[in-house]
Amino acid sequence: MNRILFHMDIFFTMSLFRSVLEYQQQIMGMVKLVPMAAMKARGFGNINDIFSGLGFYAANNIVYMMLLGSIYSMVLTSNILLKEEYGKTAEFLMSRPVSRDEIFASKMAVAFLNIALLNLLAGFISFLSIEIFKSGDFRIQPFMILTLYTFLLNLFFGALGLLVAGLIRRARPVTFFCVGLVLVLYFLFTISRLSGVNGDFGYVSPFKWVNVEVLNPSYGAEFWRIFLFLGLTVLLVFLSGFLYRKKDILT
Amino acid sequence: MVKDSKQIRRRLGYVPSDANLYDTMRVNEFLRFGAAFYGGTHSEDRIRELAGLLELDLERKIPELSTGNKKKVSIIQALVHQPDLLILDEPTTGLDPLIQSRLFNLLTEENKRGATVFFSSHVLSEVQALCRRVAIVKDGRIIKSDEITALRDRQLKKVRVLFSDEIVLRELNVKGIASFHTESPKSIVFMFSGDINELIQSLSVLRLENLSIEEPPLEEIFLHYYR
Repeated sequence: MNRILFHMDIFFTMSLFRSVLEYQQQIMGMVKLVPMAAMKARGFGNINDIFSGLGFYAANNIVYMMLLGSIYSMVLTSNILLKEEYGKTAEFLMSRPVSRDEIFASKMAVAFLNIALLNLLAGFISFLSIEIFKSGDFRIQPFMILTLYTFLLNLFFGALGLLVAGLIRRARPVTFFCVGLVLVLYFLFTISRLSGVNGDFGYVSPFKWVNVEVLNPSYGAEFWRIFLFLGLTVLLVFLSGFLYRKKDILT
Repeated sequence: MVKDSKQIRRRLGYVPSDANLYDTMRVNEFLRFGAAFYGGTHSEDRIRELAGLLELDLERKIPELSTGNKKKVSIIQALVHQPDLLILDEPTTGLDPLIQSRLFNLLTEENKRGATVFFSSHVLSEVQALCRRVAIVKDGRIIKSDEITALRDRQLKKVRVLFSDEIVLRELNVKGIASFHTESPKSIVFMFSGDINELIQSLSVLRLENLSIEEPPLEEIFLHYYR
């Protein structure tokens, strides 16, 4: 149910774009009064991004799919493993003829499939809403690349959630920790985008590995970003699997 | 053992002391989920048969179950696949005497079928009624293991001596006496695991009114080894 509302919200947010275009002059006047830092925090890299369908989408994508999608992914993957421990059902599961590796792999597969479906549906709803509410031409290629980066970012946070589940020694939910960690990394990314700041430190945050400048004419797929995400995700998955295999589950 | 743990668990049924089940499921969903790990085609019939025997409603939601009903679910999930080894940790908690009796019959049948049953309980009368062999565990180690009848018959006796007159007797100089205490000014009680002839010889010099030598209940054997 929450997921349906989430996807509906993406659609309705995009539907605001028509109103933004209609009241362009008034909005421009208001936006100029807003500090640029606040605009960047909301996802807009440039004032004019608001008046482009793709720019409007990219800004909303930062908040909805990059930030909230990452929180969702990390909370999902960490809890899908830890719930068996703090719910004390691990004793039941571990007495079945199933190996730790099989438990880890099947739970990870379900979680990653869930993240993939979330992204697929969000991508589809976003595409549909841009098509409905756009004013001029809409370049599909930057949209697809940003959607791919966003999915890889969510997967990375999903893998990070698995690592947290493998590392934590006490059976308890880690929702607050996951939300806090994603917010801190998002905050770093936002600060690094402010003008007048050397933004290189932002690369500490995985959000920075996503190129969000979709209105840049040279915007295209950069393989180092894709390999960085995929490489680290695979590494985290293997490390988490190793830790989960060695973990004393019932303490 | 670690290498073959999956194969071992396929032949194992386990009832934990606390029945922690998936709260989002109904009883029949949980039992079917548990049975699915073992394959087989007869689990549905077996679940219904066991639920009927233990008087468990399969349509109930797990969070609505009492402690006793949760324990029944836990017992059924351990028995569905007819394991070769059953490990039951305090399986009677929350069960009424009728269901307890049916459970004991069920375990006896499983044992006759060829299954080994490890039954852990703090209610020693249950252990005494059901088990052939007993192991006393202290600090995670087995400190005594034997047939219950052997423990009761041969190894340990409860001795009560009633003297004709008041007597101050702090101890008897015979090997094998433990848990010695004075019950009244005229009587003493102790556990004895030594040579009965030596004991009789030692007592023969005293004037007795009565002497009883009994098989102690399992509780007293347990306490004897725990002290």
